[in-house]
Amino acid sequence: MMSLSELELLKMIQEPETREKGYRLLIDMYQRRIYGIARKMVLIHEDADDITQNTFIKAFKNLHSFNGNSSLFTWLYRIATNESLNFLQRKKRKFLLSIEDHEEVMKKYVDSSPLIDGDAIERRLQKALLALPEKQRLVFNLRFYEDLSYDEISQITETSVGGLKASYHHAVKKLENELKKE
Amino acid sequence: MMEKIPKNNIFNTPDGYFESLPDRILERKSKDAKTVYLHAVKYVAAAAFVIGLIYFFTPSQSFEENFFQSTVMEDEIELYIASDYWQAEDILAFVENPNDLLDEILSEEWSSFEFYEEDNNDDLWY
Repeated sequence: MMSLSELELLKMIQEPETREKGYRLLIDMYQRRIYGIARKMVLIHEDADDITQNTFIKAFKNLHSFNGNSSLFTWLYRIATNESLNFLQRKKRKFLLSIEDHEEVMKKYVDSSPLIDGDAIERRLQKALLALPEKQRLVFNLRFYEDLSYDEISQITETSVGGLKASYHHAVKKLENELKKE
Repeated sequence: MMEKIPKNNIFNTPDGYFESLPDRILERKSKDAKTVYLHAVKYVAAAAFVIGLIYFFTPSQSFEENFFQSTVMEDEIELYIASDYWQAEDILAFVENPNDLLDEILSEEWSSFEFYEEDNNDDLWY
């Protein structure tokens, strides 16, 4: 269900006189959260920036087909998560031709990037997350970091709540085993 | 164990990133729209121009003769466009109702845009 402010926002975008202002408000409202989930998935700021921009551009082009069955936020999140997963698929395909291992490269990035803070355990968790399949990592990020309910995650990913709970449970087990080492 | 791990956001952004992001997105949106628009205008306007010329200059010819000439002229006009000898604006100048034509192109272009064109992968989700 859309909130009243989301309805007002959509009305602004529908009217030519207020459309630009509506677009700007939409970006202001959601840019940090959209960027946040993209960044958690792709880790590199520049890549997350591309995904965030692509998400809003696609959203603007397709607002006419948004049917209001979910909230605008959920719809945007779905675009962002699809964009992130597609990006990672393409990136991994490129790495197939490389002698470098993508996971190892990203682990080094977590340790060395000036745009990633966090104490030792937080960095270890990020590196352990890289070993999970992307979809499972997404579910973990949405649940653990974004604090979304399983119902919300189900709407975003179009996956059953039962499947999501199983995925999250397995992810936590794998991560705890990894973090207990050493 | 997971409950003991802090949920802080450890990912930083460059200074002023979110302040400038809306402007960058809106500028890109405007550029993307112009690019799609101009490409579509070139080819549809060319077709309208060719058909208009044929019927204006050779009204007494048979349909087959008109079609043949139309195809040859269309190839020639596409050459002019591909080599940038004619721009979209030049072609629009030949058309009687450029605004009507542009409205038609835009409505066709946006209605055929594929949402999630890469999202046809059945095993995308868990």
